[in-house]
Amino acid sequence: MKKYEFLEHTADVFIVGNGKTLKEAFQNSALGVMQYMVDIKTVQLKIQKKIKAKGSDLKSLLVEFLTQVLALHDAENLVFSKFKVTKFDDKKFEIEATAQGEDFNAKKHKQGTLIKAITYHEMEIKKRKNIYSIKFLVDI
Amino acid sequence: MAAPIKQIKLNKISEVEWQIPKGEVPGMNVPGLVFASDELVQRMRLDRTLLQTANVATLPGIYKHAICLPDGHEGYGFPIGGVAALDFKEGGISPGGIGYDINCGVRLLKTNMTVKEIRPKLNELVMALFRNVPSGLGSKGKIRLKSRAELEQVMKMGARWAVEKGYGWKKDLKHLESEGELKVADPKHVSDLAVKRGLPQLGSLGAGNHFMEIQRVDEIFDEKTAKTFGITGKDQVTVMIHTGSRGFGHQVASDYLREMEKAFPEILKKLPDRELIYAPAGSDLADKYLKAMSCAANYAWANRQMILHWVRESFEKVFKKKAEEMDLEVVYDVAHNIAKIETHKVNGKKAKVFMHRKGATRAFGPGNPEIPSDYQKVGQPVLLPGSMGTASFVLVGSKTSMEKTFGSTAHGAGRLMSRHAALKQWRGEALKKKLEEEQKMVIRSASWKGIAEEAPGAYKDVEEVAKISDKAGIGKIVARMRPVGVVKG
Repeated sequence: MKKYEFLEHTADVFIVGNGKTLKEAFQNSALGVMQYMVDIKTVQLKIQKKIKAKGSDLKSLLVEFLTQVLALHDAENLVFSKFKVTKFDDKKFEIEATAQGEDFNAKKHKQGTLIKAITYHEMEIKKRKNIYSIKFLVDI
Repeated sequence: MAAPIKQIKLNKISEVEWQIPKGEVPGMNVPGLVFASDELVQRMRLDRTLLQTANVATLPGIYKHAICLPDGHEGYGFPIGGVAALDFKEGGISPGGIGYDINCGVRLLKTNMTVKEIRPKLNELVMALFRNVPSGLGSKGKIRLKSRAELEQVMKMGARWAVEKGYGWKKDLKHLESEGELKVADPKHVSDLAVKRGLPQLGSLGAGNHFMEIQRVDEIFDEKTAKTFGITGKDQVTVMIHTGSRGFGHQVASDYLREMEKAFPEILKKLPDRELIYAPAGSDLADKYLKAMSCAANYAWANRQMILHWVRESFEKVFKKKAEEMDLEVVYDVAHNIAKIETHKVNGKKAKVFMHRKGATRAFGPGNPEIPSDYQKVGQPVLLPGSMGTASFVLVGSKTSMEKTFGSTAHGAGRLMSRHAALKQWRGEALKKKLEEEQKMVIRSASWKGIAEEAPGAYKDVEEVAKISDKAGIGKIVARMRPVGVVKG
């Protein structure tokens, strides 16, 4: 199982986050988002941030969660290479997670492409052979 | 890829115009109108461009037709290159009809210099621009606003805020769409998270398809109009700035998409696409979103105004002359992701509408009170940026654009190839070298990946887009520019 994958779309890009549990698929979706923006192999674990999000269904929970990740990047100039979901409620659609990484440094980190927003376009949350896959389009 | 795409029926109206008949998707209130050549139609058929145009036609209070412009391609909700006029009382306002990068737009500057004069210092100039205008991932504005109260001034005043702070000249404002300030903006409807994302980024180019370009005028097609816009001859140097409202606008869009989904589950259920969600006219959310979205639009105009100032500073430093001496003036500034309240003539009657333009440029014709007094006689300049390494165009709005497209035309080249495919096909380093060697361009980018993703071959031919706009009469070609220096975000 690949943690995350990138698939084609004319203007933007699909990210797929995979996991043995939904929780893990959410974690790996966040990792995919980060990898698209920066080579996460170059990101060290120096700072830890808490992320909380709430949705009205699974899809909106994912959008809210990943939007918080983008907001942390924009607001505090951070990049992350590890996410851990600490609370996952798929009845109330609430999530809590920690994100670990460091300050973005253009000299140290190999840049990818900035993601502007997470969209609902063609979003799929599927379970196949015990693997959960979340596919979502990001706006570049 | 995914499930096969529903094929949409098209009736050819003219060489470059097609109608999507009502009924192609259930619930269409009006037909669709697509501007494209035979070839571009084939391209549009490869993704959901036409289906999304038909979906837009299901929105309430929509006038005449849902429009797809020649650079149209698949977006989310609306296609990119989508235009819709929804009645101010019976319709609504949809974030999907605007896009996440609210007031992403283009500003064109002119100079009195020729490419020959700047060539010896081109390298230095591009480096100066790259240094003076923050770009790329994590790009922060050089001045850092500290509080919400400070940012609220930007939200309210737009480009005028920047001018009052010393960024640029007062007369710049006259040459901006809406003079760079939507008065309906009200910061109290903007979330704290949007403010947090917006504070550090004011005064930065960002990444993705955003760029600054030093260009030379390559050909003038309409001398009289070009002269009115200050474009006077071949090889004249112009500067193009393409950016938007950064994370601030993205958060405003995300916030209101969520709010609207929550508030209108019944509407959501009936929509063919979740991202077409709208706030019905007259609802509290319609009012709030309009005001918050206008704050983001103003942020973007302030952003481009600050960048203009740094462009002037860079020229001054490199050429050791005052910007005034170089006539480094604004030709125009257009928003191509925006909704505005406008009044249009429909079947002889005036209609007040929420005018949605997503990846579409306003193209008002001559005599419209919204355009600057010095352009009144010829019409509004329309700025059509090409992709990196290809031409850009100046078009002009016309009587026809007012009649056919609510005064709108295309916004650029429009993507042809996915970013992923572009990455497979090109390597940033090699592409940069090729453009620099073959076209004598100077390129600086924060990211190699960015260069590959924005490769010229990944876009539709901007020439083709401009020609279709011209042929349909919705934006007449005035001049073409070619890049000589590029700073990529």
